[in-house]
Amino acid sequence: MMKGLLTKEFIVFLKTSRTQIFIILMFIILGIMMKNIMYIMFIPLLLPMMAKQGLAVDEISKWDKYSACFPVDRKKIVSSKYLLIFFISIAAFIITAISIVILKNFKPDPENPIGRIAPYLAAAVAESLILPSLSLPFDFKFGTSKGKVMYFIATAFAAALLSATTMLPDKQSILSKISNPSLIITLAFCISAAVFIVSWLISTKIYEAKEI
Amino acid sequence: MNALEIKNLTKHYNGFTLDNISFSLPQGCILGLIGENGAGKSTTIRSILGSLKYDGDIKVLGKPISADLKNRIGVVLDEVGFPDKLNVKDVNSIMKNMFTNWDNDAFLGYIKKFGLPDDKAFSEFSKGMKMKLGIAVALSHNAELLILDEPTSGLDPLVRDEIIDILNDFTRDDNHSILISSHIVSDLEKLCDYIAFLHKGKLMLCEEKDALLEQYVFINTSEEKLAELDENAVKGKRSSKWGTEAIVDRELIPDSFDTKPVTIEDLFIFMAKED
Repeated sequence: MMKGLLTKEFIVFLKTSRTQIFIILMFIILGIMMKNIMYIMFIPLLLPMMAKQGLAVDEISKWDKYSACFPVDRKKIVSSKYLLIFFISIAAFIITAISIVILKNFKPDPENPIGRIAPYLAAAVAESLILPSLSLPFDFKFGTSKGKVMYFIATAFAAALLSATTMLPDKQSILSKISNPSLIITLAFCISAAVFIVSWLISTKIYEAKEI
Repeated sequence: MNALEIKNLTKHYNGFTLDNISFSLPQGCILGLIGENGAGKSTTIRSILGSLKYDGDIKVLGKPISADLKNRIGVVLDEVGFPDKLNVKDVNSIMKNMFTNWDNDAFLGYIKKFGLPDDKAFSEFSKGMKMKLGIAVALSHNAELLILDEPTSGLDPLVRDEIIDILNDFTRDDNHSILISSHIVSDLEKLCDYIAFLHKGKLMLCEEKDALLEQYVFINTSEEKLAELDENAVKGKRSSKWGTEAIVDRELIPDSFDTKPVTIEDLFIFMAKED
């Protein structure tokens, strides 16, 4: 049953990610101490990646083969992975939002007030949902070692994009043009959710056809 | 009713074919699937579990395999695949949310009986302990059919014997059946009612164990005398400078021969070598 799969996913996540959770805390503290939002923007990159490593744990332990012994179909196995990543992405978004609010209060910036954190939050949503969505079908098709390459490519692309936006000469004027912050977050969430759902459907098809 | 029915199971791999296998396991019985490494035992079991695509027809407890049906089946594979960091308590938490008929007390009873620590990580378990945990899981949801793929492989004789006792206990209920594969034939000989012999992807025979032990016997003779026998009588032979030892069908040889009983292991080795 799905509840059993989710229980397993969360237990494995919590037991295999203790060190990484500590590293994420360090990123938050560093971001606030260094007064640099980019440290915090690593959270939505790292947390879903940690959730995704459950697939590698399954391969190493041969849980992927062993799961054929249990009363769960392939669709539920894939869904449990996506649901874990979805919940972790939501957690990453909330942690990122709280950290940015703390940072903005810690370091008030008249040119970039707290009302203008929407682009960062939109980026956080997009990072945490789209990056795993791009690599998960590869993980299910070819295994996690090849899927990891795809994740790195997607992450490098996202990091480059993020860096490019911070280097824009008229960054402030672009930010000032964003009149409706909730619209940009909603838009980012909708696009990310659409990519996530398409990825989910593709991975399900792949895994249902696969011999394990 | 048959607990398991396999008809014309065929699976092609590059360099290996599981070739048109058919056999059935009557309810309340234990069937041992014997074969050398690579004979097709695991392919057969993975086909039964729906892990592979295949040609043919497989019915488990009278139905095609489905996720829901697995609530009534206990499976132990040659490697019990729990993630390293999990402990017995975690496995219990997962399984009680996995199986609709999970029996918490039965599981904890098996854990106690097997002497497994409940707070030690799975990675710190020995191979025997891992296998016992897999068996405890397979036995703790009121399964009617156990499917075991090489459960005694790599274990010491003491643990193997313990596992065989547990499986014998399981079949005290007339509705309980077991399909067990192994290349350790002596284990299956102690346990099984039926023997299916797979060799290079082909099913060489599938019969009641006692009937096999009754039907086939050893004779010691010469090559010349062996050549005089009905060619269907000889299932396998081994020649040395002291003579020829052969396994033959008791019904097809003259009464004048001195015969000795065979074991399933003898039969397996001689038939495999003859092929």
